[in-house]
Amino acid sequence: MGKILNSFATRTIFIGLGIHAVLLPLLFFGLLNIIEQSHEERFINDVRKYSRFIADVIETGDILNDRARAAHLLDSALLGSNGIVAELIAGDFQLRSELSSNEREILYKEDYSFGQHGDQIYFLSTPLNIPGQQAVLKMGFDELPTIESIESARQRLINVLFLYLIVSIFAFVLLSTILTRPLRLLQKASRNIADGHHGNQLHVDSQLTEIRALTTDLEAMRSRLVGTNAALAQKIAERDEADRQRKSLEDKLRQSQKLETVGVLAGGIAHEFNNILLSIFLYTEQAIHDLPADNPAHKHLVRVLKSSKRAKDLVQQILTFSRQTGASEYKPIDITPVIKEVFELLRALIPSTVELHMETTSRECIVLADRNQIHQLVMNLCSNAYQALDNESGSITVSLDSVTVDEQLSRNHPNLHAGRYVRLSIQDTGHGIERGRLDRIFEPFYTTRTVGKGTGLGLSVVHGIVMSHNGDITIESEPGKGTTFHIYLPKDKQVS
Amino acid sequence: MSSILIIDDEEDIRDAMQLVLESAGYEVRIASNGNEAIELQRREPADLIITDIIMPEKDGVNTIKEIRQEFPGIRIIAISGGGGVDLLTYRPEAIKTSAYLSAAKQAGADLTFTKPFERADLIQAVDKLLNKIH
Repeated sequence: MGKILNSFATRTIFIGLGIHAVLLPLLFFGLLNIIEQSHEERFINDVRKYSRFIADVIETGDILNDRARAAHLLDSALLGSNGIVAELIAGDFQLRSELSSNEREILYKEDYSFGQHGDQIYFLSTPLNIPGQQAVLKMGFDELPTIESIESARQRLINVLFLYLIVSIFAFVLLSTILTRPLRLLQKASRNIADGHHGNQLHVDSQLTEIRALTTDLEAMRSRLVGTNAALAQKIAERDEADRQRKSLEDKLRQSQKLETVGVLAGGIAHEFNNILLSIFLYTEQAIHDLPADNPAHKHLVRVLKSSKRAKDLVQQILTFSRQTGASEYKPIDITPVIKEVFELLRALIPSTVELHMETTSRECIVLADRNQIHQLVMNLCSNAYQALDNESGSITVSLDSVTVDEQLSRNHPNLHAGRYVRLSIQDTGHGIERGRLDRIFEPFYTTRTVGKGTGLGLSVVHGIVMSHNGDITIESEPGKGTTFHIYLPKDKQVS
Repeated sequence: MSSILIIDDEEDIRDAMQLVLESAGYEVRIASNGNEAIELQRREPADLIITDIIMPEKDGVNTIKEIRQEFPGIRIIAISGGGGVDLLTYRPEAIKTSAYLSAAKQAGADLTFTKPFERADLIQAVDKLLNKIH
């Protein structure tokens, strides 16, 4: 029962019907009372008037002396009316009508109101005004017709009220439906939002101020929800992106740590390994030297030597890669001393048949950089320059300058933004690079050298280092004349 | 006949280089560390010293310095152990070793070699250096 009553619609119906349940009985009994009273009053009025009329007739005639006439009059008084008995009493004179004496038991009692004494007869005494006599006319009137009249009226009343009840039930259901319609619209709209379809703006058709106010508020909540959702989705996307980046960095770090371990191991082994390889080289080469060429062992040893050279290359490769992935530390550093240091090394390593020049600028060259990587970069390029020279003669020039990249240059080299850069140039007078090869020159393992003279990693390492410093690298080369590499490194903004 | 003194802490390397250089017609003596080498050089001076740089007790650079001081006209070849610093096959990991080699040159070495090198290259270099004497 409680659950049913929890609906606004049913509450309306129940309240309406409840009110009616209280009012209708009141109405019924009230109306019934009115009907009864009016019937009774009319009955009593009628019977009194009739009695009076008969009394008048008796008064005007000289009835008391004529018994037969009196009897006749009494009987005829009962005809055409609802009188049941009539009695005339005047001193000793007593006369009763004869018509209906056997029908009912006549208990004569004076009635003052309708329905008294339970005998369904209304007794009435009317005093007669006959001079010299104390005469009275007593009459009994049948209440039954009136009772039946009341009864039928009551029945009709019940019918009407019942009909009314039925109609009012329908009316209440209709009313409740009409009243709850805006609520149901609102509920449907909010259910839509709750289900997740909150793309569309809320709209409820209603004139009621309360419903409109609710709609406005609900709409405000919906749009805020949409906004919050969008913001959340973005936050989640950002968080996911950050997570992805972090994972990627973690992976890289793990990789580099692994490789660093390999590198440390490799570095540790290298010394030992190179000694071992030297021993193999020298003994094998000596044996080849000692054996005549037609001796089968000669050929075999040549193959041994070939494999040993591959072993040497392999060790170098491992060492190269492991060196690449050491932890890097980017700090604002002055490039000039780093370049000078490398240059000194070069002077020690390159035979004096090659001319070495260094040009620096007096301007500050502060770049946000990792010192070891810059070292590596310059060494790689200078090594390449040296290897490009024929017969170990020619020149290598290393120069540093401070430049401003303009729009023109920036357009041709997308990695360069207009601004202040340090330009490091390494120029050689070697055999140069063919145009067709220039595209692939930074590819890892791309090399035009023979086995044992390079793995082809040098320039890809250089390229990697330049990119990780947000710089760029350009090449000018003419086969037969020489090559110049220009490295652009952005100046550290805080200082320069 | 020219004589050569080889200094290296690895027996295999000493023996291999002795074998190779003797087959090329040189007189070869060996020592396993710098102190032993200087003593030997004083007793039986050689025309050319080939020394490893990174060695225990006395490192090659100091040995070269002392020998150069005592024997100004002598020829010295310095050889390195770890990583490649030979610019013809330069590898970036060799930076530390290259520092040693450059130090060796500054201390007085005439030439530097990185292990592993080839028999032919060694003989050629020795020939060149010693021919300048004769």
